[in-house]
Amino acid sequence: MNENPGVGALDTVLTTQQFDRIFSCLADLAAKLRLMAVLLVDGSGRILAQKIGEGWKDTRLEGLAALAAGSYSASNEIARLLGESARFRMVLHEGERRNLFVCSVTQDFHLAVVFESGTAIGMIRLFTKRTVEQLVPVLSERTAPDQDLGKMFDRNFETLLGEELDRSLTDGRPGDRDRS
Amino acid sequence: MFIHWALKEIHLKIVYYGAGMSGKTENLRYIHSRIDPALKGDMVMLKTNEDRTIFFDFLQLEVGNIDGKKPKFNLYTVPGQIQYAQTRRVVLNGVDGIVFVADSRKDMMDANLETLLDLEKHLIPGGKTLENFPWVLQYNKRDLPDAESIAEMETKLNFFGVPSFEAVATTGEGVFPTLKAVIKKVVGNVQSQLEGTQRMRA
Repeated sequence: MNENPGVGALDTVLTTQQFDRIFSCLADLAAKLRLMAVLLVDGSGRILAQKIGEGWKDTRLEGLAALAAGSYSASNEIARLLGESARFRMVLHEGERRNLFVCSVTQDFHLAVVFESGTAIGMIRLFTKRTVEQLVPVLSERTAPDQDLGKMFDRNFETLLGEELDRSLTDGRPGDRDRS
Repeated sequence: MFIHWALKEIHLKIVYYGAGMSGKTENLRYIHSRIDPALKGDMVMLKTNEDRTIFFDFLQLEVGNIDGKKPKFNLYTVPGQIQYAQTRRVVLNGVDGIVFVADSRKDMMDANLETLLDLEKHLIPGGKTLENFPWVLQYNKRDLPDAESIAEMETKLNFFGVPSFEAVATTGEGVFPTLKAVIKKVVGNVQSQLEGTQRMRA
């Protein structure tokens, strides 16, 4: 995994092999704990992999991922303001029926777990810790070579993307008044 | 940027940055209201009781299949008020491109500049500056009677000659051109970096 923490252009590339192994880890965890959902997200809230359990209707979890990552990042800022030398180990949001547990996998990746209130938090912590240990080496692996990235972003892609943006992002107004 | 090789997804993060009440949330609201429902997720807004952004707003856009790849754009705003500096830092984590929303009212010129300097302060730890990072300027609230002239705003804020757009975000004027421009800047930046890396290895 190629990571440059903070602001950067080429932050993360997830290969097919990495994805398969990550998904397998998440699926095992979800099955063991009968989770409603488990997501691996990066520090900016993007979903690397997710496993949704039975009974969860919403399949678009981008908003939840953004909020979970934001919540965990905010907790780290709170830790810093309180004079903690390390991050908080986890964030837990307890509801009447559902809970959200977020913990760190590596510095820039978090695991977000949605589970029903009947499940013991100790179980969640125990099994997510094991999953984290499985995920760390996968996330540390080297990524796809640059020439493959070059294919992903060739000039043809730029042209086609420009055309698609013009089709999708339109409100029928004339001219775009770019001042440059 | 995040590339999901298995799903052929390219995730790019774009942040709307600017002083308090400059119109960042209005940009996202307009985009959300005009995009095909199949191409967007729910819009997440974290607001105070006074309707001010306290953490961020979030909206994910897709533009369909491009040559077998699926670009996804995660749009965020930051809270503009001074006391939320740490929150802005959190939201900027992993950002690929920025729309700087400048308030055109004459009495907001100092606040615009201060906020731009605040932005660069957050970019520097990641090895970036306003000179080498993909960003665009939007001069919002052009419909107000006390709006500063564009020439004056260009002089005060656009010292690096980035693409700039006049806008009235509440009506949508200039919103889509701004968004398209920042996406093009981000993609161009990624291509330049890849080409640079390949030249070094050749």
